[in-house]
Amino acid sequence: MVRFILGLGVVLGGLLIAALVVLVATEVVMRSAFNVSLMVADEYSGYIVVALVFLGIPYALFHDALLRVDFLFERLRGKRRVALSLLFDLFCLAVTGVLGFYLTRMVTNTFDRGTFSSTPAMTPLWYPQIVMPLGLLLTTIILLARIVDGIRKLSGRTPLPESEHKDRGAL
Amino acid sequence: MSGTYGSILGLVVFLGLLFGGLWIPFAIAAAGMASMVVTGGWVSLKALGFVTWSAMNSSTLSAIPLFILMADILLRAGVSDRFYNGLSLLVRRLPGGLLQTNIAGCALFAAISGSSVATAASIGTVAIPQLKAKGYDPAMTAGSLAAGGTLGILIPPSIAMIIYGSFTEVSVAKLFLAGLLPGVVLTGLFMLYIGLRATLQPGIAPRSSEDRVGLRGVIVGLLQLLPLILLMLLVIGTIYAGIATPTEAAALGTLGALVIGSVFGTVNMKVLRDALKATLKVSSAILFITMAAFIFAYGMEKGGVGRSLTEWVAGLGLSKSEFLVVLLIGYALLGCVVDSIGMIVLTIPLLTPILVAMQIDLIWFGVALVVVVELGQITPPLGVNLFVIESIAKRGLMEVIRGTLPYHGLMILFLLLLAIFPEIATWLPQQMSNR
Repeated sequence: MVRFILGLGVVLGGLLIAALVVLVATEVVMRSAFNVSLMVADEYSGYIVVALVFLGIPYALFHDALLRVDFLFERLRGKRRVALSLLFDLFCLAVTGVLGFYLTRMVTNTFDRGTFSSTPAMTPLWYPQIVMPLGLLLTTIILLARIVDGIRKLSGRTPLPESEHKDRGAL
Repeated sequence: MSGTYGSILGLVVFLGLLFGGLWIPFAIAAAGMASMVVTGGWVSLKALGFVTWSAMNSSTLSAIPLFILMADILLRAGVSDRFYNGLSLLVRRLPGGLLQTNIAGCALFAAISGSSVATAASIGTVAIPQLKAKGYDPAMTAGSLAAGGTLGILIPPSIAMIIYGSFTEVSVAKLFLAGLLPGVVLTGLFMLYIGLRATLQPGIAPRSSEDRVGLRGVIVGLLQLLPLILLMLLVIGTIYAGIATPTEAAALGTLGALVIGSVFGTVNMKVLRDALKATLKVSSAILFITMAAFIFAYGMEKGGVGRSLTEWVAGLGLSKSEFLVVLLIGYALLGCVVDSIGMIVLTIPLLTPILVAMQIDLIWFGVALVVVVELGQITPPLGVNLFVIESIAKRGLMEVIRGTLPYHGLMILFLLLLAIFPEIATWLPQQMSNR
């Protein structure tokens, strides 16, 4: 189930990136060739960035692709490492919870007030904003799954993993 | 408790979590939130919604996924071999042979990739088996690739510069152009060094009959490179001419990469799907850190840290060059413990007011910063490029570290050049605004 929702997010994220390419390329071609602007390219590409981050966080988390300073963490082996990892996941859960709470509040505010973007498109702002709490909800689910997994490993119900590979940097 | 103390407390908690190994964006966001709560109480967290939304709702940042996608498509389509071999026909006559090809290849790939890791990985994968088979010195091979790869964030496009621009509000287009000439000069320094080493110690780069390339070979090489050069011109040319913003150039470049990939390699549904997935993963990891850093910067600003820091530095009475030397040494040390994006996003929000107060050109500083970040990328224990090359060459980290050592000297030499002749960075962007 978690995998299914995550997969849905990934498909949506991928489609959004493809849409971004088409949208921005169309804008620049239209503008330089016909001197016409779509008027929405700048606005929507910003929305797409927001959606990408919040759909991508749970995905990156699931694949351990977020970055960490790992020279201490990598030294730890076995149960100690699982314990520290569990502690961090709990901490991340708290951060996600606080962030999710305030982002949800912002979106409900935007919805109640019926705020529009101050652009020709007059987009109701809760459309692009709703992705933020949804992405964090998915992040919460992934974190909970990691926490359950960590507890199972600590209590010896799941064997401890071998040292696995990791992404060290993205820049 | 006064705001400054609160922020200092936040900083201490944050450093503990960061070095313990908590995911960097969560650590940064938590530090920002803690600082907000200590300064203004829980009610100040209400700003979180606005801060994250306005930080990410940015068409400037949308260039990041686009540039990542462009390089990823080319990589997956399997066209790197062709370009590397084409390039080798042009430069392998120089002393150092394929080592020179490595540097030139990295510089060329840097012009279509905004990341050092991607640059080192794509050239490294093609180069290492070839150089190994021909008996090149393994440390020299690894060093040229790890150091050459760092050109990825100096030569435009550059993800590092997009992030720097989004915090300092300096035009990303100008930053890109500012990095171009320094990228060429640094490439030249690297190639000069390899040429000298190979002349003094011919054993590191054994010559073979293949190195004597005739006119015919040069033409074949140029033809093989032509698509890549056209793509480069499409991206940088449209930005320079003012036809396209960096974001738009990235979208055009992605389409260009699709065309090149389909003609000279394989682009099918699987390649596209994998490229989009990888782009989502990598760009959201980068953008998440950026978003967290905006929360951090907001918290620090509310706590008045930026202001106190600016006053403190002004009180020291350092001259501009003294300040810069101290700052760059600080960065070099920071590079040993924090990864490249972290280095930029944690310091720039706090530094920008100081830089402005000291009348340091923000475009020039952006270039100097990128060179220092490059230095961090080849410095253990966190230098990403060391690990990238080690994972391809599989000959141990020490050899890669030994190979990159001389490049540290070259980069510091280059920083000196940049300080003495700031025009290397500032001239080209000025040409753009003068038209």
